[in-house]
Amino acid sequence: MPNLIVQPTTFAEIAEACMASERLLPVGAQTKSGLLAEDAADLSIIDMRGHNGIVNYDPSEFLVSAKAGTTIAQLAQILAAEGQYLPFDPVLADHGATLGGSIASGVSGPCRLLYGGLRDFMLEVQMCNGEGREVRGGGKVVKNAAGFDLPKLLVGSYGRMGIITEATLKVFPQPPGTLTVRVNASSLRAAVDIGMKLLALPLPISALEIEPPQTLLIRLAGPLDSLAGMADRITAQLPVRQAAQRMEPGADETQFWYERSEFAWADDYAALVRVAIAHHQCVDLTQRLTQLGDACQCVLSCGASVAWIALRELDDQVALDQVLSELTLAGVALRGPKSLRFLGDRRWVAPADRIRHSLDTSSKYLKFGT
Amino acid sequence: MSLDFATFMDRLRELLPGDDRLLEQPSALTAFQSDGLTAFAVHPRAIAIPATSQDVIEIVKLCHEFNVPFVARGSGTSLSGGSLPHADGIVIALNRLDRILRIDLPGRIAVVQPGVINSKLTQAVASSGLHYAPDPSSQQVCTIGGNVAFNSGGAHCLKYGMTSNHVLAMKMVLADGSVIDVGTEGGEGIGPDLCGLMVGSEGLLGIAIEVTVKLMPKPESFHTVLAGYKSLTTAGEAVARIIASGLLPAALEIMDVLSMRSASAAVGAKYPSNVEAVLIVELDGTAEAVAAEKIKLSELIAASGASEVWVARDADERATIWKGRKSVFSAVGRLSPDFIVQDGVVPRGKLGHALEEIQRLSREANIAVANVFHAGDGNLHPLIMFDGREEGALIRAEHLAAKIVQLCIDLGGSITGEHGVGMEKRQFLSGMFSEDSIQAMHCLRRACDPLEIANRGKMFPSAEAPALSLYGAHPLETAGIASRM
Ligand SMILES: Cc1cc2nc3c(=O)[nH]c(=O)nc-3n(C[C@H](O)[C@H](O)[C@H](O)COP(=O)(O)OP(=O)(O)OC[C@H]3O[C@@H](n4cnc5c(N)ncnc54)[C@H](O)[C@@H]3O)c2cc1C
Repeated sequence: MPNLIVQPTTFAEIAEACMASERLLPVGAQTKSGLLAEDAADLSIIDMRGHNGIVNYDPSEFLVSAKAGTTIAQLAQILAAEGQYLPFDPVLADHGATLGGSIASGVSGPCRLLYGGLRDFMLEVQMCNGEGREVRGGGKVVKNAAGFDLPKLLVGSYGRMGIITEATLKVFPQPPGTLTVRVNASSLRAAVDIGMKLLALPLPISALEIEPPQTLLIRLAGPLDSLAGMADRITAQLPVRQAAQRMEPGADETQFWYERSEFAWADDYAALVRVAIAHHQCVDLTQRLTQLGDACQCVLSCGASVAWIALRELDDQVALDQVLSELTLAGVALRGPKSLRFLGDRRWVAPADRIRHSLDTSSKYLKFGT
Repeated sequence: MSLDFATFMDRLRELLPGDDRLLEQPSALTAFQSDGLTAFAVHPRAIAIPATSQDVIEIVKLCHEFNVPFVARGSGTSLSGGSLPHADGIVIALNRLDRILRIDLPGRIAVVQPGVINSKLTQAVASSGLHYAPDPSSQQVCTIGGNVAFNSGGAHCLKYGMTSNHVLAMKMVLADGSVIDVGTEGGEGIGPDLCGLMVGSEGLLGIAIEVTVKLMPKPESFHTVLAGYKSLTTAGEAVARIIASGLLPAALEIMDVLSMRSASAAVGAKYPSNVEAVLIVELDGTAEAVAAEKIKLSELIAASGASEVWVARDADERATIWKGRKSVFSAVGRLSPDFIVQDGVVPRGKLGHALEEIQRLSREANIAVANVFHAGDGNLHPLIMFDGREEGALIRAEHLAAKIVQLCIDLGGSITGEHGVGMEKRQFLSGMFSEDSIQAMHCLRRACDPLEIANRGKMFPSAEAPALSLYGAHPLETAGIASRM
């Protein structure tokens, strides 16, 4: 059966669609298409883009509430007007990413290193369960320990635990300036080692990425007149004669990182896979990826805690799955063949489905496992 | 004792041989009868003291098999009755699981057992320039396991977040005995954030047996200011000014006169005279950034109507300011034989109003309330003072506490910022969440704990099992099984 597309604009319409459907999948702007379903999966696709708008924004409270279909671009614009921002560096804003889709896919951008990822900024969530009932968790205050942390639980729920209809996020004042240092290390291992050394320093590093074979990118954030001094401290840490270039504060530097949060470098690739890693796995992983040849490109991001792997051919996903399994690394394809969206180590799936099932008692949403 | 329970105890004895690993004598039970909320006391049936993770797993399996309720316990400093024992169950005391299992300095993480004391972890990594950021005032005694269960906070939450923002991964034994790993070392999750769900679940889903936490570089530079104000309201307005300026201080704390008096009595802390409130503001970061920001801060404070401003000139002076601030909870004991501390949250913009209301309620009830709070996150800590030996005093104090909690709900805030719902604030959970939302939380709980044996009777408004109610004598009290101290 072909999928049925529903375009609700209110919670009531979302609830109605839930009650009327047997099987459900909410979608936003479909920028993470790998997480979506096959074309003829006999599903009701709830297109959330019509359910949008800021519900409440009070800059002095450091929080913003918005409906799930609100675009990240719109949110960012409203915050910027007040000198604030989303410190987890939301991705794919230019592609139209929505708030709900960003939460459900659980992806933070490269510049999330100062204060944490998307999960760390979730304060409240409203969702619609399979029976069309409203469930809320968290609260509209920056600190709260009441009840189970549903706002965090729904981060990475991939549209499979309920429809996120509204959320409240913590926001922060935007750092006044940013500056980037690019280092050409002697090897990938050296790049990782330098990166780890820098992250142990009390410096406001907002992004640290490693581009194989051996380029290290470090972004600093802080008062404008403090940046040059801090950059000097970074270069002072480098092995002698290590070449370092600077991108001074300004539009080019901002654009450079913006494009990275859009994954512009992976535009020509068919699949884009996000892999959770630890610093000591970087070398192994990149070495193994060289087996896949030119058809594969990888960026180690967020201070070597995540690898973004782009594949030219969808078929290569099978080989990548194999590599990740051998290294017991878990990955998820944000773009790629839907038949293989979860790669490598899948031990997270069974407990996730156990928790998932308890929220989706009428089994209307998709399972994580097959 | 039912036959089943006798068999359960036999099996437990086999599991925990020796005479110091399973305590049943009344004197031992008394030592565990209360937590930091000493108004409540319940004797459990026994105290199990595991030495390894595997012990914990086996004990939980046994509890599940025999349907025996259990309460995990760290240092028992919970202020909400979270570690209050269950009269039909056992306490699992995790203090011997106190090893730091792995420190990965380059990766800036530590893997610890749940019984590790919060400040011990920071001490263990101090020489590397790293620290474990969450710093509850009880950090010298409370455990990481307890911090995890309550998503504990501290004075530096505004900028650095609470415990859950520092826990990357955990190994948990769920209440049905199954063991799961949640989270990832790098903090980049794949799939739903189960680690986020487990932190702050108040011991209702299972027991954390291994916790991977983030270590952060210690800020290299601090700028700590203590400013005195003629009223709580002007101190509150100063906070609003600072926030509006775009600065992101690491801490913004306010203490009222009674809190200052307590801290002076306890640790000899000094404060400006003739002020009604002091504001503590701390900037941290690189020397360069702090140098730039402190100019801005001093302008803001100068314009905020402060009657006196002290700036910590060195690390010792900074430590003195924090010692006073962190001593308040324990220090109030010097001014009053008993107290209840609430920790509701209000939107920052409503702080002034909330404080005025608390003062009004305090006058109305004729009960002294000291106020010390995390002003930056709107997290109140009214300390309601009473003398438990006075007839009805506890009940009156509890009524006042209830009004304050309700006030926080009415102002759109939360019933707890960091101490957890526990035993004490159960009936207020429905003030924050609809029936459907609470139902969803029940379902999550049952997915991990089908028999509801983990911390039975806590957090959820409907008392599911014999437990003390906050108001009036409970049947258990009348029966002499439980008592209020
Ligand atoms: C003087 C004083 C000052 C305080 N200051 C602060 C403060 O500034 N900020 C703040 O947030 N809190 C504060 N507290 C409250 C308290 O210290 C914290 O809640 C702390 O985290 C409790 O730790 P604990 O080891 O004492 O836990 P316990 O009291 O033993 O247990 C707390 C809860 O955790 C559960 N639990 C314990 N271990 C585990 C585990 N391994 N797995 C699952 N569940 C577990 C228990 O069942 C219980 O529900 C203060 C308390 C006191 C007495």
